[in-house]
Amino acid sequence: MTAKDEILNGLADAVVKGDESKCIELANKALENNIDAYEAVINGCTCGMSIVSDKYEKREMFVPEILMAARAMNGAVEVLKPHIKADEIKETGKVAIAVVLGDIHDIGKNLVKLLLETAGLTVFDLGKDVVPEDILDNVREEKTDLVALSALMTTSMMEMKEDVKLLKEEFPNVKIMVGGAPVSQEFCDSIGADGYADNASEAIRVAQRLLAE
Amino acid sequence: MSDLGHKEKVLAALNFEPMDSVPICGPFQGYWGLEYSNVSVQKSFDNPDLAAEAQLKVLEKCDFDGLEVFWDWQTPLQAAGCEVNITEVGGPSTRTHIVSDASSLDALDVPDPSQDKRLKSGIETAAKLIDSIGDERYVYYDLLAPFTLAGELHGVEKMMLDLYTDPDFVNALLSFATETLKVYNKYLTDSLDVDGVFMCDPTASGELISKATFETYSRPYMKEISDTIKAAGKDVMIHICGDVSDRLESILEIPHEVLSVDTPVDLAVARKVMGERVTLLGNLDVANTLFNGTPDDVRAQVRNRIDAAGGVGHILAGGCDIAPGTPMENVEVWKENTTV
Repeated sequence: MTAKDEILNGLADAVVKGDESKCIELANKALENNIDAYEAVINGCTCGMSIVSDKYEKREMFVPEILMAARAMNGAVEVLKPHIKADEIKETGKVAIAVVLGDIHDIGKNLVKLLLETAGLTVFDLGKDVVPEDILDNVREEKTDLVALSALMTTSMMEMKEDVKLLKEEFPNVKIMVGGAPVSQEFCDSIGADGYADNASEAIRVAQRLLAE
Repeated sequence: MSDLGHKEKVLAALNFEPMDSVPICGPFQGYWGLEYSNVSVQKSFDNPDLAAEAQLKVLEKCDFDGLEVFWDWQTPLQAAGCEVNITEVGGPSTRTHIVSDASSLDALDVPDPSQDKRLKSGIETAAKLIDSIGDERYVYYDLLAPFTLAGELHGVEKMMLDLYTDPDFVNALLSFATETLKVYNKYLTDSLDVDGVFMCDPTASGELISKATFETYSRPYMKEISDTIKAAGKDVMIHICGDVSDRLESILEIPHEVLSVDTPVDLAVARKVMGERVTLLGNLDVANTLFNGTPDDVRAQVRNRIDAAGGVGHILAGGCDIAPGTPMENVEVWKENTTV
């Protein structure tokens, strides 16, 4: 293993372990060793977060562990970011994410946001209990490619239906994905959304698929 | 056995007696019942008569064997000083989290239940319901479990991070939550002649925390509340959201009579693990089947759940709250399909 591989693997590993100080230390070491900052983010940090995402799907990691991993990753990204050359950043898609009106449960939304960002997407976090106008405004102003809607309460599913209807009326080309405990593939199909994900890891794959269409 | 009364049916399920048909309950029908009768949540606080009548109306249609007579399970939060959103429909939600750090926790007093207006109104409603149907039906109230209360006091994500970054603080927060819930449960069991008490721990969901976290931060504190409830001579009922299949054995360490499981748990698997140690309650899909499905979908799922649980030590119910807006025909159909 080269020194570079060792640093990048170490970064990924420190992200998975949620070890913030180790992440910062290795990010600095990457810079000292003239490793490209963007490469360190992608092949170190992001690689770590995708392992986290797999482990979450296999029920080996849960929310506290994912939050620790994200915190560790952010520590490294803070160090690396000023050294990333602007032309290296690839524009891979814009996603707006929101918990629908009447619902304040945002843990799932925050996890998906985190993983979407890690996957290199530009994410507009519209928050929780979001009125439809805010979602429409975002798509209009930012030319957002994909809207991800979350609901945890069964009662909020009706708001989701309304959001999808309004979005499709005004922006027939915008892709919409939905998720949250009460939501299912059948419900997604019935309200005319384009994609459904059962969990946060799956959500990233669905987002990438929809953006590629 | 078919001539058993409603309460007797629930007790038979608690005692693992063979039955011709399984008993049914919401388990959490309160907010749905209010919405069904067009009683807003605020109105239910202001007018306990209306709140109680709304539940009796549901009972008349659904003929539940057990009834949730007090459903304002998060009331200690407002009493502790959190600001809450009270919407027309559904339970109040926490808007501000009053405990930001150790010093704000130190400054906080355990709320006095006798000064809690929502609690007072809820108790009045429950007393009316117990007065009216308490002899014939199995009645219970619900309240949060310590892990969930602590999460709402501090903010769930902040607490989840603090589990790793500041475990001492989390334990202090959990001790405060536990003390509060002991006081509340004591007050409620002194005030109301219920049969059982539900401890609800949605934040300890199998989708949110690991079994190890559950065992360290949720279970020990739930055990303390279980002792309080038992000391009052009431049955202990537990509800935890999400897939808890990997920690059923672990939940058994908390003394309890009834475990309410969410839809992802396979009742046959749960039965196998729990044997005849705990009565299982559940677990119709409240979203896809009850809220969005048809009576035929419900009938099929009722059959599936009764078969999976094996017809003994089972109370047929939703896997979580019956959501406001759920069609009445999807709930009133349960009672005709409970044959084992």
